[in-house]
Amino acid sequence: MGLFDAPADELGRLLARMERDGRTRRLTPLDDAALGRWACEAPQVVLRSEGGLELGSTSTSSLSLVLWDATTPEGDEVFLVGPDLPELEDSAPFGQVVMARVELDDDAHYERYRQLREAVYRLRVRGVMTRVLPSRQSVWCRVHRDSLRGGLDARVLGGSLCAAVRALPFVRAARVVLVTAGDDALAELAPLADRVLEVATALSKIHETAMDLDCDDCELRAVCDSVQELRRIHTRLAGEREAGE
Amino acid sequence: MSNVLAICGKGGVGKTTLAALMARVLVGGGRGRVLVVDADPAGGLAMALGLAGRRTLDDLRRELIARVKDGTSPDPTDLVAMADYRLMETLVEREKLAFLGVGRPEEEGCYCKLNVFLRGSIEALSGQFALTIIDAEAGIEQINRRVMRTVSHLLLVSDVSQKGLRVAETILEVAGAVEAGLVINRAKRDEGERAASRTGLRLLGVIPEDPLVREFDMEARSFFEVPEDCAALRASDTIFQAFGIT
Repeated sequence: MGLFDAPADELGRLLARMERDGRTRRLTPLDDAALGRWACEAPQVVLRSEGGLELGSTSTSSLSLVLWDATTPEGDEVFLVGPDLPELEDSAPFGQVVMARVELDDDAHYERYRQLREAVYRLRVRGVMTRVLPSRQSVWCRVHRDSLRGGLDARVLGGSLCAAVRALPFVRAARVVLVTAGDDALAELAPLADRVLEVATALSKIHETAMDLDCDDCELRAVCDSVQELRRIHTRLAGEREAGE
Repeated sequence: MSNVLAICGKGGVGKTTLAALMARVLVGGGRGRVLVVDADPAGGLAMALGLAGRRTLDDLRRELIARVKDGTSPDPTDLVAMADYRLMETLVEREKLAFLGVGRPEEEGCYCKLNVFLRGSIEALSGQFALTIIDAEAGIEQINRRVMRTVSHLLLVSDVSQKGLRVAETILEVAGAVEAGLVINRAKRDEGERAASRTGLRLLGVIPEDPLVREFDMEARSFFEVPEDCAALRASDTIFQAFGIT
């Protein structure tokens, strides 16, 4: 069992249901050359007066999830739930889910997950200011009106997220889901988000704090009971710490 | 390197007013967008720009420290992302301008940590602006490497007093090699040129005593509202051009 198998399965079921109901569109991926037109080096700052679109701003609900599994298809996929960016006006609730297909040949799950999140946090798209607040799983995305006029849409944003994580050596492909359909659509992702946050928080605590390996008296017991990979990682780390003392 | 202009000098010589007028010159002249940083813990620049300051950089610094202390964000990657997000939230905006207030630490003593944080924040943001203007704390406290590493241009402000001119010279000595120029503020007739000649500093311009500036100061009005023919505003434009910031 992998760390994010349960939420990854849930995401797959949710997408299938949304596709059946006609609530999501599978977008044709852009190639890397087309995405390269939108790439930039520096983190973008877009002022409110320049913004054509405010997605998931500090006063609007938003969701940002990063997870992985080994069953995501070989090629990149971008799904859009709701109107495309040029069809939106002023501001909208926003969600982005990035699920990477990974091949992990070592035990460095924590480091790999950090790299994956960092790639999402450091997304660089010309005319797009994105900032992620991990503790709240929220994302704030402000799009410059010139970029919208220049053709920036969900294919560019979703494709750029795919490309950003695929640049990591252990990532084979990515599935990105962009949600602009409003609060109800985001609410459907909430249970999934809770699950991802639970696992990510546990993984971080296990690595960043010297926790005792006493499962009977551990705050992470519930999550480790359901995600066996976490317990395996904790046991391995505790063994390494003990050997090092 | 980004264009980062620090406005420094003795207390009370008019740094904050000049910072506001410079910002107005840039924004009004279509020279691109500007980041304005009030690095003086005493504050005041937000008012001169007609902005309501909310959160400060020190609020953000304390929030990050609290996160680390209470263990709610043990992951450094998440902390950096959070700092980046909150930094954008801390900016106060108007057309083509973003403002960042440094604030004042609650604890007494040195401001080193805040100045290090300030430098990091300026480095993170300045590349996205045509110019960053820093209204520095009075004296030489911030003119050390903690903040100065980000500065490309140093605008030394003084009145015609010997004390003011001496502080300006000291600041340049401490700052070391950086593009620098002197502005004499609130000068009457040829006082400005005469005062500057007593220093070895390059005179960029003189801002005349201007009753309109005094009136705006007294009424706490925004310097974005001064009329185009305001003498101090026109002098600020000339000074900016004389500095040759491109």
